Amino acid sequence: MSRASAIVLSVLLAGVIAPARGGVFIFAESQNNPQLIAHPAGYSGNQNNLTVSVCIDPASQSISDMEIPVRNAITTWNELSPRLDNVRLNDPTIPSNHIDYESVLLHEIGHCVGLGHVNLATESGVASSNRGYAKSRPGPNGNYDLDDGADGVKGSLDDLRGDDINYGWFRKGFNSPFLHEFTVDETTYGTGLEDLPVGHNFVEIASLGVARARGLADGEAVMHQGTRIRENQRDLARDDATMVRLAMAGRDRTQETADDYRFTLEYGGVKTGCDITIRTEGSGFGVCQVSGSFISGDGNHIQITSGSITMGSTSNYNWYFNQSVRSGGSHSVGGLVSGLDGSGLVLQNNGGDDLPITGNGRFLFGEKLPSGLAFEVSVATQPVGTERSCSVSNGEGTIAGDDVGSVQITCQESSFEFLFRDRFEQPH
Amino acid sequence: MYVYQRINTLVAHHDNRISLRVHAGGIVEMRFPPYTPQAGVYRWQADAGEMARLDALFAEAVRLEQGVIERAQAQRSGGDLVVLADADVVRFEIRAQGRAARSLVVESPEAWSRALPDSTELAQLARTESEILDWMRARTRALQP
Repeated sequence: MSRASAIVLSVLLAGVIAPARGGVFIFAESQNNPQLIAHPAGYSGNQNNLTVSVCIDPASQSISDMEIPVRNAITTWNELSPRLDNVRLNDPTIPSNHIDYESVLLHEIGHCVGLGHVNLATESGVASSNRGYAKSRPGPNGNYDLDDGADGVKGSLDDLRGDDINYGWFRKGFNSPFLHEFTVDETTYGTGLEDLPVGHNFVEIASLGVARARGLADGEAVMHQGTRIRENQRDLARDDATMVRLAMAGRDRTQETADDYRFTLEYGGVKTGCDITIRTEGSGFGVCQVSGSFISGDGNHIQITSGSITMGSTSNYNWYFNQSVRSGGSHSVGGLVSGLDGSGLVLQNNGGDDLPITGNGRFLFGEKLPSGLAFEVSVATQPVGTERSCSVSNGEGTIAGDDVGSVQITCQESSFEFLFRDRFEQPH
Repeated sequence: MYVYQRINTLVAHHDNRISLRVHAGGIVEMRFPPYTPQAGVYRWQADAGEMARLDALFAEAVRLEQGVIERAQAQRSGGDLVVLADADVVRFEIRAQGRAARSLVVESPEAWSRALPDSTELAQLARTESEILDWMRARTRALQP
């Protein structure tokens, strides 16, 4: 779509669609504050561990069908174990013309713990063909500026967005939603476009189109609005886990300080009065009502006070209720990188879970592993722009009931190069 | 002519609209997307009694001015902030000579009615839409093989 026609469409829709709501953190857009971070129910700024109860409404339909998908979605958010390949299209276990209840529920629970849409979703009022762009609000010109740039991929780094105001948090200096870094806080992530790498025009989002354009496996942020028939998206993408971890850095927005917290979603059974209530009834497809309030004295942090998810009834929608209990991993694998001075280093665990490394310091693989499973860390791609190469030590073993954080990645010039330099650079 | 649509905004890459078109003479066309039990296109000849009821329902819907949700929010005093994510978009339209003479586009009246229970306008709109949908599904059941 041309910019001119996008503007015309935006103007036309602006008069008939309710004002924009949502954001990468929910409430950010409605409060006109890209810096606003929403936290799960109960967080007031000084807790380290939160328990958020999740229940099925006793008045709901399909209660027995819902229970496993609800429990699985809770487990998935608790694990925070993202996958690069978290989208499986045309899953053969999902009947034709059915939509996976668990995948949609995972998205709605994401809203209830504080996340908004990463894309220019329906609350923006733009045409459905433009919903692949990154979350933003119109700038001073009053319109969305929508041009997908030379690559023709919406939501990618070369989008020309005019004076649109960005709402998406991104890794400063890298602008990749497919990273999973050890440090996720305001020192490494931000919303200011001045922190984009040279040559990038706008924030890139974790959409299926962008993942494919980058040559990655089929992956998409769970918080990207837009589900598909027979799509299995029961795992988080890295961007989803990153945003939750950003919130968990607390009000000071600095990781590993006293106000950091973790939250655990806890299934409370079939009852009312929980922090998040889920029901299946009615004519709407899927909707999440989130209530929240500003944390005392802080205009940049909101605590969610309640969440209510309503999924349409089975008399109105063909839901597929997955009945396989999730048996995911729960232990992370990570370590320390030292001596790196180039770029492009990529690590792998067990031959996959590619992890681009952007600098020295701690790293953490996205996928968690269950106890008893082997791990083997390797260098998939050596850095470029340096004479150093990287090697792994303490990189193999078996998960033994705890996180692994002792893998060492050491980058240094090879002994041959030292020898070579010694011979030719020593003063005579 | 009357037009009603409920757009399932969370569904992408497929037809995501439940729609009703009521033409002059009482010819009714109903469409349900592929992921619904009623999937398909249906045609029905409405009788005089049905047309009278549809006349009343659409008149009831479009009598509301645009911004019904914003008005209901403004009438709230205090309380927490509320957002609704992924609400369907619902459109009611009365057309004359091929053009929209009156219309109302609003996010899920039933969901907003739950969120803002003090709004009589939203509650009424939710009841109106529910009756239209119930009528469509009843006719669809009668037409399904």
